[in-house]
Amino acid sequence: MEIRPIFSAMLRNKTGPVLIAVQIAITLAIVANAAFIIEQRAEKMNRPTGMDHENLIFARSYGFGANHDTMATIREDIDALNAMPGVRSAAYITNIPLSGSGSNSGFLAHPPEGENDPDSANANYYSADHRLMETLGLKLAAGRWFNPEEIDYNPDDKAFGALPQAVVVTRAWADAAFGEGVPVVGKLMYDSIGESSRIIGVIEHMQGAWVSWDGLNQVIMMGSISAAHPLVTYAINVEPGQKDRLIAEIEAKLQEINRDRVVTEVRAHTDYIADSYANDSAMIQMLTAVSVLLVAVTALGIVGLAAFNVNQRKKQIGTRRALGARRIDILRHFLLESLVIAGIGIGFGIVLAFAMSWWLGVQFNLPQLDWRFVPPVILGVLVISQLAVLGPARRASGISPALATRSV
Amino acid sequence: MISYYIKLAALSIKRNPVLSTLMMMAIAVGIGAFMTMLTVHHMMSSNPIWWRNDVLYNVGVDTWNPNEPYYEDRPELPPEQLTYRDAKALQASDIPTYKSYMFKTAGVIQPENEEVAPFIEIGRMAFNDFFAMFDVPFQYGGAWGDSADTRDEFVVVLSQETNDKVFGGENSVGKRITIDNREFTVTGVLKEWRPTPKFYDLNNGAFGPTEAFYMPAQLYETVQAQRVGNTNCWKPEDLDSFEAFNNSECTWIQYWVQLDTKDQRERYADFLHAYLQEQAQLGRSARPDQYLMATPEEWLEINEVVGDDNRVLVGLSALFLIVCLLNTVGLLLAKFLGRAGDISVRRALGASKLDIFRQQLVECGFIGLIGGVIGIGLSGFGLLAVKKMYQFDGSVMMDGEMIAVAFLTAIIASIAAGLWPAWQICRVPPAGYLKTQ
Repeated sequence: MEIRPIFSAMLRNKTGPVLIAVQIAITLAIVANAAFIIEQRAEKMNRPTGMDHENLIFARSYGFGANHDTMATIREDIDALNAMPGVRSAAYITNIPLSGSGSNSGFLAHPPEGENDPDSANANYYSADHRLMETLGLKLAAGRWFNPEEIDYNPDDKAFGALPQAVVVTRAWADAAFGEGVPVVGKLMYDSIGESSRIIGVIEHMQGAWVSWDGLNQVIMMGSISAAHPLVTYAINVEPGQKDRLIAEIEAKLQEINRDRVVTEVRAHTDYIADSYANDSAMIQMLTAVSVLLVAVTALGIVGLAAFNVNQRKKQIGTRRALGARRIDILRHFLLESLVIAGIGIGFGIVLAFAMSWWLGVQFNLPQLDWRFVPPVILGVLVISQLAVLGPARRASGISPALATRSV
Repeated sequence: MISYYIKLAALSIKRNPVLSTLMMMAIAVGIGAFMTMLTVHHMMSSNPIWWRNDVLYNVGVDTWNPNEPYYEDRPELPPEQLTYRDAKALQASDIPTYKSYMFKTAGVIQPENEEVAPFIEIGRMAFNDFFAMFDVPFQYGGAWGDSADTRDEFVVVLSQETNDKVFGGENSVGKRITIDNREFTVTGVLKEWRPTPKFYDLNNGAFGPTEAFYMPAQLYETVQAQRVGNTNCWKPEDLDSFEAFNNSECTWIQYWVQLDTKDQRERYADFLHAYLQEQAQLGRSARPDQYLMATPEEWLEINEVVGDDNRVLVGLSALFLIVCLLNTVGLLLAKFLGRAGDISVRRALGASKLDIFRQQLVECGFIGLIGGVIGIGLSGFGLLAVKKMYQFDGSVMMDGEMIAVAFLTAIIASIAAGLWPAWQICRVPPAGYLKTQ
């Protein structure tokens, strides 16, 4: 088609097209890399938790009174919580999963050989009572959960270190310690000083304490209640839609039962999860904001250049129209011109996108840009560059041929 | 002359309101995004105790696992915290001017006023050198006396917030306060104190709140205080009792010293080396060459307080600013060339190329200035959003330095953007335009 006049028109005034091409190149490179990073963060945030986190509330009680009896408090509180309307199930746990705070240690499939046995597999561990599976909404892949009489009450264990008689482990930890898919129900597991405990069940999947830790899915539930520590935690599963109301009620209720303690951190599980992913979601939001602004500014630049060109070339356009060019020819000229500029920008942009990704990789250890993120961005840039030029191009096609005869 | 140029600039902006507004907005949005990211970076990378940077040192000694280093990627570094036994041993040295081990604890504060319900707070146990070393500002009273660091005295320093809550903000020095069922005497109340980042203890978030109360570390064993910071252990050992834990190889204590002279620093380094050697001879796992004396600045660097995410965002927003400027170049070109007629008249009336060039640049600077002002406003909103997203404790605002950087960037950038268009317009031969008039 009429590609030659487009080039000669562009060559007469190179600056404008060059500016737009550079903007398009940078935009493409940033948006492709941003989309790639956003996708990775979103994937990280959307991993299944293995828990009914939407309906969970956690509450903590810190006993301080001289006559405070932690064990009695736990029993009383859990009975009271389970009796509250709207509460489906309440249970004891030592820490809040996905909160960024917890305990972790290495455990083994056999008695440890020397200090630092390399077979040791790390796990987040929690103490749990017989209701916790139901409360958290965990699914078992094998075996069973604790019976009430299996829960060890451990009044002297200051550091939650001692192993109880029975544990339930996640499949991920069993895979790491015993080998992929090895049945573990009924087997013993050992801690680093050689104490052992019987595995009675396997959780299909559950996330532990630290979202950026690669052992996140390696969790061990210990059938025990450690009453030595004044800080105890309750997991509470509530009926959908009742969360906000119950958070206030639970705090008041627990406070009313027993005044020798402080009730603290009564919060939705989703709040803890949001806190843990605060950096990732902030990165997503900021990259999105920068990308949207970037596309908007570049589109405005394209509109501006096209409008300027149309203004500058009014007379030439009139002349072409007078010489027989149809409106559609003028429209097509500007669309095609924009396409050529965008094409050049995209060419450089692809190179720039991979260069940027390489640099990010060297500097910050980020993974290399997946090429599949590039074509959709190219398509987007093409569509936007055509849409941006449409207004000025239509105005150009409306220029009357009579203009050619005026003010010569 | 410059005032005449500014008048011309104002006129020209009025005559081309759409183009001028677009340019200002392009600069404003670019500056807004860039300054938002840069301010966050500036805050994260600032040293909140810069005036004592050359005398304060965070101390580390490597008694970690003999089979694997604490930091896999930086094996030469000791763990970021100390064991209780190492902390006690280092506290015995008389080389430093000030020295203190310190850690976080928790306690329930029970106000005498029945209307205020008991509340749980995070506190800190330390020696009284803590306050002198870090220039902690007091509103009332001061640190506890030296005697409280050697024998049990139930004394406490409160933060401003705690004092407001419990004593309604009045001078509470000498008054009693019940914490975890024990009576403490208040010796001092701090002014607002929020070092950002919280350099002395970066565990559990470098931008977290400071503690609500401070008590002598001497009391730790007496009251069997709770430890609520991070604890890292490597050695398989029995941790079931308070005493067993305190004798263990678990690390959980921060240690800071003030060393004023070069001689002190050298002697202290020798002391650390000798201590580790001695421990190794006693059969403990110890690496004599792996001790650390890091200034606050080095300490913040080692702990990677400025996240990679933030660096990536600063870079991307700088590129975004460049795109906004390229846009401005295009718009300026259009605007200037649209005024070729006026310029030609001025040239014909005797203005030199240089005069025209200067006038155009003044106009660019003017636009940059206005764009910069709007941009600073925009980054105010940006920072509010960032504060919410990251849940920073203190306020996130631009300081004088950042505002100056914003203006300078806006003006320099817009003048740089104007160079090429201004050059183009000076080169227009006046005769061609004058003819068509």
